[in-house]
Amino acid sequence: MIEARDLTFGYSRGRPVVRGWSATIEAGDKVAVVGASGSGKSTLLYVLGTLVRPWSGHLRLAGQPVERLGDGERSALRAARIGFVFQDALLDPRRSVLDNVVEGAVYRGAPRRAALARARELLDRMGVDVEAGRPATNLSGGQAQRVALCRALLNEPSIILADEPTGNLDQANARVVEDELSRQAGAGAAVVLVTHDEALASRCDRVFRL
Amino acid sequence: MIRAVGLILAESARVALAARAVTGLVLLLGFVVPASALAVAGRNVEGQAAVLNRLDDAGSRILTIVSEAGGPGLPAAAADRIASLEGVAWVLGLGRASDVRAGGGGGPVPLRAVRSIRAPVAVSGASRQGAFVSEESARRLGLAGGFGWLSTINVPVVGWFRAVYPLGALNTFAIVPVEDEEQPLERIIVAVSDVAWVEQTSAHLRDLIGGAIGDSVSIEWSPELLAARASVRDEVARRDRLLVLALLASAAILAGIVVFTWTLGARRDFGRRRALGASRSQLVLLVVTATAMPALAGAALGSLAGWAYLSAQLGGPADPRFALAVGTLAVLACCGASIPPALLAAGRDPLRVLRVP
Repeated sequence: MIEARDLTFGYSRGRPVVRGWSATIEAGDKVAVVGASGSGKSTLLYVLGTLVRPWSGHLRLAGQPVERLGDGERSALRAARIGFVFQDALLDPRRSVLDNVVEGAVYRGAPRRAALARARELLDRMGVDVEAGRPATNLSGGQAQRVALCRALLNEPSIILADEPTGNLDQANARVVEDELSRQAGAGAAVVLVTHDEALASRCDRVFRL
Repeated sequence: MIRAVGLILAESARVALAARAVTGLVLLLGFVVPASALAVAGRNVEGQAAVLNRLDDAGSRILTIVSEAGGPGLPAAAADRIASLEGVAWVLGLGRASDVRAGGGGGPVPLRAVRSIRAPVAVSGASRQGAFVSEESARRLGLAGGFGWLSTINVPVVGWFRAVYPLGALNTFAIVPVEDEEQPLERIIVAVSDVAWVEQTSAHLRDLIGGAIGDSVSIEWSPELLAARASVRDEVARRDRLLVLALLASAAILAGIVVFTWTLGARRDFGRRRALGASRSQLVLLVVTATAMPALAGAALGSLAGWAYLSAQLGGPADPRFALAVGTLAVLACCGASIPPALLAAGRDPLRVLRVP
Protein backbone atom coordinates (compact mmCIF):
# COMPACT_ATOMS: atom_id res chain seq x y z
CA MET A 1 0.00 0.00 0.00
CA ILE A 2 2.85 2.37 0.94
CA GLU A 3 6.25 1.72 -0.58
CA ALA A 4 8.97 4.20 0.37
CA ARG A 5 12.58 3.98 -0.76
CA ASP A 6 15.29 6.32 0.54
CA LEU A 7 12.95 9.24 1.15
CA THR A 8 14.80 12.42 2.02
CA PHE A 9 13.23 15.77 2.81
CA GLY A 10 13.99 18.93 4.76
CA TYR A 11 12.89 22.52 5.14
CA SER A 12 16.17 24.25 4.38
CA ARG A 13 18.78 23.38 1.82
CA GLY A 14 21.39 20.85 2.92
CA ARG A 15 19.63 20.10 6.22
CA PRO A 16 17.39 17.11 5.68
CA VAL A 17 14.93 16.28 8.42
CA VAL A 18 13.94 12.92 6.95
CA ARG A 19 17.04 11.04 5.80
CA GLY A 20 16.81 8.06 3.48
CA TRP A 21 13.70 6.54 5.08
CA SER A 22 12.54 3.25 3.54
CA ALA A 23 9.61 1.01 4.43
CA THR A 24 6.84 -1.03 2.92
CA ILE A 25 3.52 -0.86 4.68
CA GLU A 26 0.87 -3.26 3.48
CA ALA A 27 -2.89 -2.97 3.56
CA GLY A 28 -4.11 -3.88 7.03
CA ASP A 29 -0.84 -2.83 8.71
CA LYS A 30 -0.94 -0.51 11.69
CA VAL A 31 2.50 0.94 12.21
CA ALA A 32 3.89 3.55 14.57
CA VAL A 33 6.58 6.12 13.95
CA VAL A 34 8.28 7.23 17.15
CA GLY A 35 11.18 9.49 17.92
CA ALA A 36 12.31 12.53 19.79
CA SER A 37 10.84 15.96 19.12
CA GLY A 38 12.30 17.39 15.93
CA SER A 39 13.32 13.98 14.62
CA GLY A 40 11.06 14.42 11.58
CA LYS A 41 8.11 12.17 12.51
CA SER A 42 5.37 14.59 11.44
CA THR A 43 7.37 15.69 8.42
CA LEU A 44 7.67 12.06 7.30
CA LEU A 45 3.91 11.68 7.70
CA TYR A 46 3.24 14.68 5.45
CA VAL A 47 5.75 13.42 2.88
CA LEU A 48 3.90 10.07 2.85
CA GLY A 49 0.66 12.03 2.53
CA THR A 50 1.91 13.75 -0.66
CA LEU A 51 1.60 17.21 0.86
CA VAL A 52 5.21 17.83 -0.15
CA ARG A 53 7.55 16.24 -2.65
CA PRO A 54 10.56 14.45 -1.19
CA TRP A 55 13.95 15.82 -2.19
CA SER A 56 14.94 12.35 -3.29
CA GLY A 57 13.79 8.75 -3.07
CA HIS A 58 10.75 6.96 -4.38
CA LEU A 59 7.25 6.73 -3.05
CA ARG A 60 4.43 4.51 -4.30
CA LEU A 61 0.96 4.71 -2.84
CA ALA A 62 -1.54 2.01 -3.73
CA GLY A 63 0.82 0.93 -6.48
CA GLN A 64 1.09 4.40 -7.97
CA PRO A 65 4.42 6.27 -8.10
CA VAL A 66 3.71 9.74 -6.80
CA GLU A 67 6.98 11.65 -7.19
CA ARG A 68 6.16 12.83 -10.66
CA LEU A 69 2.47 13.53 -10.18
CA GLY A 70 1.36 17.15 -10.51
CA ASP A 71 -0.40 19.01 -7.72
CA GLY A 72 -3.85 18.22 -9.09
CA GLU A 73 -3.18 14.49 -9.29
CA ARG A 74 -1.55 14.35 -5.87
CA SER A 75 -4.46 16.28 -4.40
CA ALA A 76 -6.95 13.94 -6.05
CA LEU A 77 -5.03 10.97 -4.67
CA ARG A 78 -5.10 12.54 -1.20
CA ALA A 79 -8.81 13.22 -1.42
CA ALA A 80 -9.65 9.71 -2.57
CA ARG A 81 -7.12 7.51 -0.76
CA ILE A 82 -5.66 9.26 2.26
CA GLY A 83 -7.23 10.25 5.55
CA PHE A 84 -5.33 12.68 7.77
CA VAL A 85 -5.77 12.97 11.52
CA PHE A 86 -3.94 15.90 13.08
CA GLN A 87 -2.73 16.36 16.64
CA ASP A 88 -5.22 19.14 17.22
CA ALA A 89 -8.47 18.43 15.51
CA LEU A 90 -8.26 21.45 13.17
CA LEU A 91 -12.01 21.85 12.88
CA ASP A 92 -13.55 25.04 11.54
CA PRO A 93 -15.27 26.38 14.66
CA ARG A 94 -17.67 28.60 12.70
CA ARG A 95 -19.21 25.69 10.87
CA SER A 96 -21.40 22.85 12.02
CA VAL A 97 -20.07 19.50 13.13
CA LEU A 98 -21.61 17.89 10.04
CA ASP A 99 -20.12 20.49 7.69
CA ASN A 100 -16.70 19.83 9.20
CA VAL A 101 -17.01 16.10 8.66
CA VAL A 102 -18.15 16.34 5.03
CA GLU A 103 -15.55 18.93 3.98
CA GLY A 104 -13.31 16.35 2.31
CA ALA A 105 -16.14 15.22 0.03
CA VAL A 106 -16.01 18.61 -1.70
CA TYR A 107 -12.48 18.05 -2.99
CA ARG A 108 -13.20 14.49 -3.99
CA GLY A 109 -16.26 15.63 -5.95
CA ALA A 110 -18.56 13.33 -4.00
CA PRO A 111 -22.29 14.14 -3.79
CA ARG A 112 -23.12 16.07 -0.63
CA ARG A 113 -26.21 14.07 0.22
CA ALA A 114 -24.31 10.78 0.29
CA ALA A 115 -21.49 12.45 2.23
CA LEU A 116 -23.94 13.73 4.86
CA ALA A 117 -25.44 10.26 5.30
CA ARG A 118 -21.97 8.74 5.71
CA ALA A 119 -20.99 11.53 8.14
CA ARG A 120 -24.03 10.85 10.33
CA GLU A 121 -23.21 7.15 10.36
CA LEU A 122 -19.59 7.82 11.36
CA LEU A 123 -20.55 10.31 14.08
CA ASP A 124 -22.97 7.78 15.46
CA ARG A 125 -20.36 5.01 15.39
CA MET A 126 -17.78 7.24 17.08
CA GLY A 127 -20.28 8.13 19.78
CA VAL A 128 -20.22 11.85 19.11
CA ASP A 129 -23.24 12.76 21.13
CA VAL A 130 -23.81 16.32 19.91
CA GLU A 131 -26.31 17.89 17.64
CA ALA A 132 -24.65 17.51 14.24
CA GLY A 133 -25.97 20.85 12.99
CA ARG A 134 -24.54 22.88 15.83
CA PRO A 135 -21.30 24.84 15.35
CA ALA A 136 -18.11 23.02 16.28
CA THR A 137 -17.07 25.86 18.61
CA ASN A 138 -17.82 24.34 21.96
CA LEU A 139 -16.80 20.74 21.44
CA SER A 140 -14.58 19.21 24.08
CA GLY A 141 -11.10 18.10 23.00
CA GLY A 142 -12.17 14.46 22.89
CA GLN A 143 -15.32 15.23 20.90
CA ALA A 144 -13.36 17.41 18.48
CA GLN A 145 -10.78 14.68 17.84
CA ARG A 146 -13.51 12.10 17.24
CA VAL A 147 -15.19 14.50 14.80
CA ALA A 148 -11.80 14.95 13.10
CA LEU A 149 -11.44 11.17 12.85
CA CYS A 150 -14.89 10.99 11.25
CA ARG A 151 -13.71 13.62 8.75
CA ALA A 152 -10.61 11.55 7.95
CA LEU A 153 -12.70 8.42 7.42
CA LEU A 154 -15.43 10.03 5.32
CA ASN A 155 -13.98 9.06 1.95
CA GLU A 156 -13.16 5.52 3.15
CA PRO A 157 -9.41 6.02 2.74
CA SER A 158 -7.09 3.08 2.17
CA ILE A 159 -4.28 4.98 3.91
CA ILE A 160 -4.72 6.71 7.25
CA LEU A 161 -1.99 9.04 8.48
CA ALA A 162 -2.41 10.12 12.09
CA ASP A 163 -0.15 12.72 13.73
CA GLU A 164 -0.29 12.29 17.51
CA PRO A 165 -4.00 11.50 17.31
CA THR A 166 -4.31 10.81 21.02
CA GLY A 167 -1.75 13.34 22.20
CA ASN A 168 -4.28 15.77 23.66
CA LEU A 169 -6.92 13.27 24.78
CA ASP A 170 -7.90 11.70 28.05
CA GLN A 171 -7.65 7.94 28.37
CA ALA A 172 -11.24 7.19 27.41
CA ASN A 173 -11.20 9.32 24.30
CA ALA A 174 -7.74 8.05 23.35
CA ARG A 175 -9.10 4.52 23.59
CA VAL A 176 -12.01 5.34 21.24
CA VAL A 177 -9.65 6.83 18.67
CA GLU A 178 -7.16 3.99 18.92
CA ASP A 179 -9.89 1.37 18.63
CA GLU A 180 -11.25 3.02 15.50
CA LEU A 181 -7.80 3.15 13.91
CA SER A 182 -7.35 -0.56 14.73
CA ARG A 183 -10.74 -1.27 13.25
CA GLN A 184 -9.77 0.56 10.05
CA ALA A 185 -6.56 -1.48 9.82
CA GLY A 186 -8.62 -4.59 10.35
CA ALA A 187 -10.82 -3.51 7.46
CA GLY A 188 -7.77 -3.29 5.17
CA ALA A 189 -6.47 0.25 5.56
CA ALA A 190 -2.79 0.98 6.03
CA VAL A 191 -2.52 3.03 9.23
CA VAL A 192 0.56 5.08 10.11
CA LEU A 193 0.63 6.63 13.57
CA VAL A 194 3.11 9.21 14.71
CA THR A 195 3.24 9.14 18.47
CA HIS A 196 5.27 9.81 21.58
CA ASP A 197 3.22 7.26 23.43
CA GLU A 198 5.35 4.09 23.71
CA ALA A 199 2.39 2.10 24.99
CA LEU A 200 0.34 3.03 21.94
CA ALA A 201 3.30 2.24 19.69
CA SER A 202 3.73 -1.14 21.30
CA ARG A 203 0.18 -2.06 20.33
CA CYS A 204 1.00 -1.47 16.64
CA ASP A 205 2.19 -4.15 14.24
CA ARG A 206 5.54 -2.46 13.70
CA VAL A 207 7.41 0.50 15.09
CA PHE A 208 9.78 2.78 13.14
CA ARG A 209 12.17 4.81 15.23
CA LEU A 210 13.61 8.05 13.91
CA MET B 1 -15.93 18.30 -13.79
CA ILE B 2 -19.08 20.41 -13.67
CA ARG B 3 -20.14 18.72 -10.44
CA ALA B 4 -16.67 19.29 -8.95
CA VAL B 5 -16.84 23.02 -9.79
CA GLY B 6 -20.40 23.13 -8.46
CA LEU B 7 -19.25 21.60 -5.18
CA ILE B 8 -16.45 24.17 -4.89
CA LEU B 9 -18.93 26.98 -5.58
CA ALA B 10 -21.25 25.65 -2.89
CA GLU B 11 -18.27 25.40 -0.52
CA SER B 12 -17.34 28.99 -1.45
CA ALA B 13 -20.83 30.11 -0.46
CA ARG B 14 -20.43 28.35 2.91
CA VAL B 15 -16.99 29.95 3.36
CA ALA B 16 -18.41 33.39 2.49
CA LEU B 17 -21.22 32.94 5.00
CA ALA B 18 -18.79 31.81 7.69
CA ALA B 19 -16.31 34.69 7.10
CA ARG B 20 -18.90 37.38 7.78
CA ALA B 21 -16.59 40.33 8.35
CA VAL B 22 -14.72 39.72 5.08
CA THR B 23 -17.95 39.10 3.21
CA GLY B 24 -19.49 42.28 4.62
CA LEU B 25 -16.49 44.41 3.64
CA VAL B 26 -16.34 43.02 0.10
CA LEU B 27 -20.10 43.49 -0.26
CA LEU B 28 -19.69 47.09 0.87
CA LEU B 29 -16.91 47.68 -1.68
CA GLY B 30 -19.03 46.11 -4.41
CA PHE B 31 -21.88 48.45 -3.43
CA VAL B 32 -19.88 51.66 -3.07
CA VAL B 33 -18.14 51.60 -6.48
CA PRO B 34 -21.18 51.62 -8.79
CA ALA B 35 -23.30 53.67 -6.38
CA SER B 36 -20.67 56.42 -6.11
CA ALA B 37 -19.77 56.34 -9.80
CA LEU B 38 -23.39 56.65 -10.84
CA ALA B 39 -24.18 59.32 -8.26
CA VAL B 40 -21.24 61.51 -9.34
CA ALA B 41 -21.73 60.71 -13.02
CA GLY B 42 -25.36 61.72 -12.57
CA ARG B 43 -24.31 65.17 -11.42
CA ASN B 44 -21.81 65.42 -14.26
CA VAL B 45 -24.38 64.36 -16.82
CA GLU B 46 -26.82 66.89 -15.45
CA GLY B 47 -24.22 69.67 -15.64
CA GLN B 48 -23.10 68.54 -19.07
CA ALA B 49 -26.68 68.52 -20.35
CA ALA B 50 -27.20 72.08 -19.12
CA VAL B 51 -24.01 73.33 -20.80
CA LEU B 52 -24.72 71.44 -24.01
CA ASN B 53 -28.27 72.77 -24.14
CA ARG B 54 -26.92 76.29 -23.85
CA LEU B 55 -24.37 75.63 -26.56
CA ASP B 56 -27.06 74.15 -28.79
CA ASP B 57 -29.32 77.13 -28.20
CA ALA B 58 -26.46 79.49 -28.88
CA GLY B 59 -26.45 78.52 -32.49
CA SER B 60 -24.36 75.44 -32.98
CA ARG B 61 -27.35 73.92 -34.79
CA ILE B 62 -27.60 76.81 -37.25
CA LEU B 63 -26.12 76.93 -40.77
CA THR B 64 -26.32 80.00 -42.95
CA ILE B 65 -26.09 79.95 -46.73
CA VAL B 66 -25.01 83.33 -48.01
CA SER B 67 -25.05 84.54 -51.57
CA GLU B 68 -22.01 86.72 -52.22
CA ALA B 69 -22.64 90.37 -53.05
CA GLY B 70 -23.10 90.74 -56.78
CA GLY B 71 -24.07 87.09 -57.18
CA PRO B 72 -27.33 85.85 -58.64
CA GLY B 73 -28.83 85.16 -55.24
CA LEU B 74 -30.44 82.00 -53.94
CA PRO B 75 -33.77 80.97 -55.45
CA ALA B 76 -36.61 80.87 -52.90
CA ALA B 77 -37.44 77.33 -54.07
CA ALA B 78 -34.05 76.25 -52.65
CA ALA B 79 -35.37 77.01 -49.18
CA ASP B 80 -38.24 74.61 -49.77
CA ARG B 81 -35.90 71.88 -51.00
CA ILE B 82 -33.62 72.35 -48.01
CA ALA B 83 -36.58 72.11 -45.63
CA SER B 84 -37.34 68.65 -46.98
CA LEU B 85 -33.86 67.33 -46.01
CA GLU B 86 -33.74 64.82 -43.16
CA GLY B 87 -32.74 66.40 -39.88
CA VAL B 88 -33.68 69.96 -40.87
CA ALA B 89 -35.89 71.57 -38.23
CA TRP B 90 -36.72 74.81 -39.98
CA VAL B 91 -35.56 77.13 -42.76
CA LEU B 92 -35.75 80.88 -43.14
CA GLY B 93 -34.87 82.57 -46.42
CA LEU B 94 -34.07 86.29 -46.37
CA GLY B 95 -33.95 88.72 -49.30
CA ARG B 96 -31.59 91.66 -49.42
CA ALA B 97 -32.42 94.44 -46.98
CA SER B 98 -33.57 97.83 -48.15
CA ASP B 99 -34.76 100.75 -46.06
CA VAL B 100 -38.43 101.73 -46.12
CA ARG B 101 -40.47 104.43 -44.48
CA ALA B 102 -44.14 104.70 -43.62
CA GLY B 103 -46.27 107.62 -44.48
CA GLY B 104 -46.62 108.70 -40.82
CA GLY B 105 -43.19 110.30 -40.66
CA GLY B 106 -41.29 107.70 -38.61
CA GLY B 107 -37.71 106.63 -39.16
CA PRO B 108 -36.46 104.23 -41.76
CA VAL B 109 -36.69 100.49 -41.09
CA PRO B 110 -34.96 97.79 -43.10
CA LEU B 111 -37.28 95.56 -45.04
CA ARG B 112 -36.53 91.99 -46.02
CA ALA B 113 -38.35 89.47 -48.18
CA VAL B 114 -38.84 86.34 -46.06
CA ARG B 115 -39.45 82.68 -46.98
CA SER B 116 -40.25 80.83 -43.74
CA ILE B 117 -40.67 77.07 -43.51
CA ARG B 118 -41.39 76.00 -39.91
CA ALA B 119 -39.16 78.87 -38.65
CA PRO B 120 -39.95 80.45 -35.25
CA VAL B 121 -41.60 83.48 -36.83
CA ALA B 122 -45.29 83.92 -36.01
CA VAL B 123 -47.24 85.93 -38.58
CA SER B 124 -50.80 87.19 -38.19
CA GLY B 125 -52.77 89.32 -40.57
CA ALA B 126 -55.82 89.44 -42.80
CA SER B 127 -53.80 88.99 -45.97
CA ARG B 128 -50.36 87.79 -47.09
CA GLN B 129 -50.31 90.40 -49.87
CA GLY B 130 -48.32 93.11 -48.13
CA ALA B 131 -45.76 93.77 -45.44
CA PHE B 132 -45.69 92.67 -41.79
CA VAL B 133 -44.19 94.56 -38.92
CA SER B 134 -43.07 93.62 -35.46
CA GLU B 135 -43.89 95.75 -32.43
CA GLU B 136 -40.42 97.25 -32.60
CA SER B 137 -40.39 97.96 -36.33
CA ALA B 138 -43.95 99.38 -36.14
CA ARG B 139 -42.85 101.76 -33.43
CA ARG B 140 -39.80 102.85 -35.41
CA LEU B 141 -41.93 103.34 -38.52
CA GLY B 142 -44.35 105.43 -36.48
CA LEU B 143 -47.28 103.07 -37.06
CA ALA B 144 -50.01 103.02 -34.42
CA GLY B 145 -50.95 99.38 -35.18
CA GLY B 146 -50.29 96.54 -37.59
CA PHE B 147 -51.70 98.45 -40.46
CA GLY B 148 -50.41 101.28 -42.62
CA TRP B 149 -48.53 102.04 -45.77
CA LEU B 150 -44.87 101.73 -46.69
CA SER B 151 -44.72 104.78 -48.82
CA THR B 152 -41.24 104.26 -50.26
CA ILE B 153 -42.18 100.97 -51.95
CA ASN B 154 -45.95 101.44 -52.15
CA VAL B 155 -46.80 98.31 -50.17
CA PRO B 156 -49.50 98.09 -47.47
CA VAL B 157 -48.73 96.84 -43.97
CA VAL B 158 -51.23 94.01 -43.44
CA GLY B 159 -50.32 92.51 -40.08
CA TRP B 160 -47.91 91.63 -37.30
CA PHE B 161 -45.05 89.23 -37.01
CA ARG B 162 -43.00 88.14 -34.06
CA ALA B 163 -39.71 86.29 -34.34
CA VAL B 164 -38.29 84.47 -31.35
CA TYR B 165 -34.84 83.19 -30.43
CA PRO B 166 -32.57 82.67 -32.30
CA LEU B 167 -34.25 84.90 -34.90
CA GLY B 168 -35.01 87.72 -32.47
CA ALA B 169 -32.90 90.15 -34.57
CA LEU B 170 -35.55 89.90 -37.30
CA ASN B 171 -37.89 91.96 -35.10
CA THR B 172 -35.98 95.10 -36.09
CA PHE B 173 -37.16 94.57 -39.68
CA ALA B 174 -40.32 94.82 -41.64
CA ILE B 175 -40.87 91.70 -43.71
CA VAL B 176 -42.60 90.75 -46.91
CA PRO B 177 -43.46 87.07 -47.47
CA VAL B 178 -41.89 85.63 -50.61
CA GLU B 179 -44.48 83.94 -52.79
CA ASP B 180 -42.47 83.69 -56.01
CA GLU B 181 -40.26 80.56 -56.04
CA GLU B 182 -37.75 82.22 -58.31
CA GLN B 183 -37.32 85.32 -56.20
CA PRO B 184 -33.64 85.62 -55.26
CA LEU B 185 -32.69 85.49 -51.61
CA GLU B 186 -29.54 86.82 -50.02
CA ARG B 187 -29.27 84.16 -47.35
CA ILE B 188 -31.00 81.06 -46.09
CA ILE B 189 -30.79 80.18 -42.41
CA VAL B 190 -31.09 76.47 -41.72
CA ALA B 191 -31.60 74.94 -38.27
CA VAL B 192 -31.02 71.23 -37.83
CA SER B 193 -32.79 69.29 -35.10
CA ASP B 194 -29.62 67.78 -33.67
CA VAL B 195 -26.12 69.15 -33.59
CA ALA B 196 -24.90 65.83 -34.94
CA TRP B 197 -26.55 66.69 -38.24
CA VAL B 198 -24.64 69.94 -38.82
CA GLU B 199 -21.67 68.69 -40.78
CA GLN B 200 -23.68 66.20 -42.78
CA THR B 201 -26.33 68.77 -43.62
CA SER B 202 -23.64 71.25 -44.63
CA ALA B 203 -22.32 68.73 -47.17
CA HIS B 204 -25.84 68.09 -48.47
CA LEU B 205 -26.47 71.81 -48.86
CA ARG B 206 -23.47 72.16 -51.12
CA ASP B 207 -24.77 69.27 -53.22
CA LEU B 208 -28.26 70.74 -53.26
CA ILE B 209 -27.54 74.33 -54.22
CA GLY B 210 -23.83 74.60 -54.94
CA GLY B 211 -24.05 73.31 -58.52
CA ALA B 212 -26.80 75.73 -59.51
CA ILE B 213 -25.11 78.89 -58.38
CA GLY B 214 -21.46 78.00 -58.30
CA ASP B 215 -18.89 79.69 -56.11
CA SER B 216 -20.98 82.72 -55.27
CA VAL B 217 -22.45 80.89 -52.30
CA SER B 218 -20.81 80.24 -48.97
CA ILE B 219 -22.12 78.05 -46.18
CA GLU B 220 -21.38 79.26 -42.68
CA TRP B 221 -21.70 77.37 -39.46
CA SER B 222 -19.94 77.48 -36.19
CA PRO B 223 -17.21 74.88 -35.90
CA GLU B 224 -15.99 76.61 -32.74
CA LEU B 225 -19.28 75.98 -31.01
CA LEU B 226 -19.31 72.42 -32.20
CA ALA B 227 -15.76 72.02 -30.97
CA ALA B 228 -16.73 73.56 -27.63
CA ARG B 229 -19.64 71.18 -27.44
CA ALA B 230 -17.46 68.18 -28.19
CA SER B 231 -14.91 69.46 -25.72
CA VAL B 232 -17.52 69.74 -22.95
CA ARG B 233 -18.77 66.25 -23.70
CA ASP B 234 -15.25 64.80 -23.84
CA GLU B 235 -14.19 66.55 -20.66
CA VAL B 236 -17.16 65.18 -18.74
CA ALA B 237 -16.60 61.73 -20.21
CA ARG B 238 -12.91 61.95 -19.28
CA ARG B 239 -13.76 62.95 -15.73
CA ASP B 240 -16.25 60.10 -15.48
CA ARG B 241 -13.67 57.65 -16.76
CA LEU B 242 -11.08 58.92 -14.28
CA LEU B 243 -13.58 58.74 -11.46
CA VAL B 244 -14.60 55.19 -12.33
CA LEU B 245 -10.96 54.16 -12.68
CA ALA B 246 -10.07 55.75 -9.33
CA LEU B 247 -13.00 54.03 -7.64
CA LEU B 248 -12.15 50.69 -9.23
CA ALA B 249 -8.49 51.00 -8.26
CA SER B 250 -9.42 51.89 -4.67
CA ALA B 251 -11.88 49.02 -4.49
CA ALA B 252 -9.32 46.62 -5.91
CA ILE B 253 -6.65 47.69 -3.42
CA LEU B 254 -9.02 47.51 -0.46
CA ALA B 255 -10.47 44.17 -1.58
CA GLY B 256 -6.94 42.85 -2.03
CA ILE B 257 -6.00 43.93 1.51
CA VAL B 258 -9.19 42.46 3.00
CA VAL B 259 -8.79 39.11 1.22
CA PHE B 260 -5.06 38.97 1.95
CA THR B 261 -5.70 39.60 5.65
CA TRP B 262 -8.36 36.91 5.64
CA THR B 263 -6.20 34.29 3.93
CA LEU B 264 -3.29 35.14 6.19
CA GLY B 265 -5.44 34.60 9.27
CA ALA B 266 -6.83 31.38 7.82
CA ARG B 267 -3.45 29.76 7.05
CA ARG B 268 -4.19 26.63 9.02
CA ASP B 269 -7.64 26.47 7.49
CA PHE B 270 -6.09 26.37 4.02
CA GLY B 271 -3.47 23.88 5.19
CA ARG B 272 -6.25 21.60 6.45
CA ARG B 273 -8.04 21.90 3.12
CA ARG B 274 -4.85 20.91 1.31
CA ALA B 275 -4.49 17.87 3.56
CA LEU B 276 -8.11 16.91 2.88
CA GLY B 277 -7.39 16.86 -0.86
CA ALA B 278 -7.88 20.42 -2.12
CA SER B 279 -5.60 21.21 -5.03
CA ARG B 280 -4.01 24.62 -5.39
CA SER B 281 -6.34 25.51 -8.24
CA GLN B 282 -9.36 24.48 -6.15
CA LEU B 283 -8.17 26.76 -3.34
CA VAL B 284 -7.70 29.66 -5.76
CA LEU B 285 -11.19 29.06 -7.14
CA LEU B 286 -12.54 28.86 -3.59
CA VAL B 287 -11.05 32.21 -2.55
CA VAL B 288 -11.95 34.01 -5.77
CA THR B 289 -15.55 32.81 -5.83
CA ALA B 290 -15.97 33.43 -2.09
CA THR B 291 -14.94 37.03 -2.92
CA ALA B 292 -16.99 37.22 -6.09
CA MET B 293 -20.27 36.28 -4.39
CA PRO B 294 -20.51 39.24 -1.98
CA ALA B 295 -18.94 41.52 -4.60
CA LEU B 296 -21.65 40.51 -7.05
CA ALA B 297 -24.41 41.05 -4.49
CA GLY B 298 -22.98 44.43 -3.48
CA ALA B 299 -22.48 45.54 -7.07
CA ALA B 300 -26.02 44.54 -7.99
CA LEU B 301 -27.41 46.57 -5.10
CA GLY B 302 -25.04 49.49 -5.75
CA SER B 303 -25.81 49.57 -9.47
CA LEU B 304 -29.53 49.49 -8.78
CA ALA B 305 -29.31 52.25 -6.18
CA GLY B 306 -27.02 54.36 -8.38
CA TRP B 307 -29.25 53.85 -11.40
CA ALA B 308 -32.31 54.89 -9.40
CA TYR B 309 -30.49 58.04 -8.20
CA LEU B 310 -29.25 58.85 -11.69
CA SER B 311 -32.73 58.36 -13.13
CA ALA B 312 -34.14 60.69 -10.50
CA GLN B 313 -31.50 63.30 -11.40
CA LEU B 314 -32.25 63.01 -15.10
CA GLY B 315 -36.01 62.98 -14.60
CA GLY B 316 -36.41 59.72 -16.50
CA PRO B 317 -34.93 56.24 -16.75
CA ALA B 318 -31.16 56.45 -17.17
CA ASP B 319 -29.35 54.21 -19.64
CA PRO B 320 -28.92 50.96 -17.67
CA ARG B 321 -25.79 49.99 -19.64
CA PHE B 322 -23.56 52.38 -17.69
CA ALA B 323 -24.83 51.02 -14.38
CA LEU B 324 -24.37 47.47 -15.63
CA ALA B 325 -20.86 48.19 -16.91
CA VAL B 326 -19.69 49.88 -13.70
CA GLY B 327 -21.23 47.09 -11.59
CA THR B 328 -19.53 44.44 -13.70
CA LEU B 329 -16.20 46.26 -13.46
CA ALA B 330 -16.58 46.50 -9.68
CA VAL B 331 -17.06 42.73 -9.45
CA LEU B 332 -14.11 42.13 -11.76
CA ALA B 333 -11.94 44.52 -9.72
CA CYS B 334 -12.75 42.68 -6.47
CA CYS B 335 -12.25 39.27 -8.08
CA GLY B 336 -9.03 40.35 -9.75
CA ALA B 337 -7.74 41.72 -6.45
CA SER B 338 -8.49 38.43 -4.73
CA ILE B 339 -6.33 36.43 -7.14
CA PRO B 340 -2.87 37.35 -5.72
CA PRO B 341 -3.85 36.53 -2.11
CA ALA B 342 -5.59 33.40 -3.37
CA LEU B 343 -2.41 32.30 -5.14
CA LEU B 344 -0.39 33.06 -2.02
CA ALA B 345 -2.78 31.06 0.15
CA ALA B 346 -2.81 28.14 -2.27
CA GLY B 347 0.95 28.15 -2.65
CA ARG B 348 1.75 28.31 1.06
CA ASP B 349 3.62 25.26 2.36
CA PRO B 350 0.99 23.23 4.24
CA LEU B 351 3.60 21.59 6.43
CA ARG B 352 4.64 24.84 8.02
CA VAL B 353 1.10 25.64 9.07
CA LEU B 354 -0.07 22.15 10.01
CA ARG B 355 2.84 21.05 12.17
CA VAL B 356 2.43 21.54 15.88
CA PRO B 357 5.81 22.58 17.33
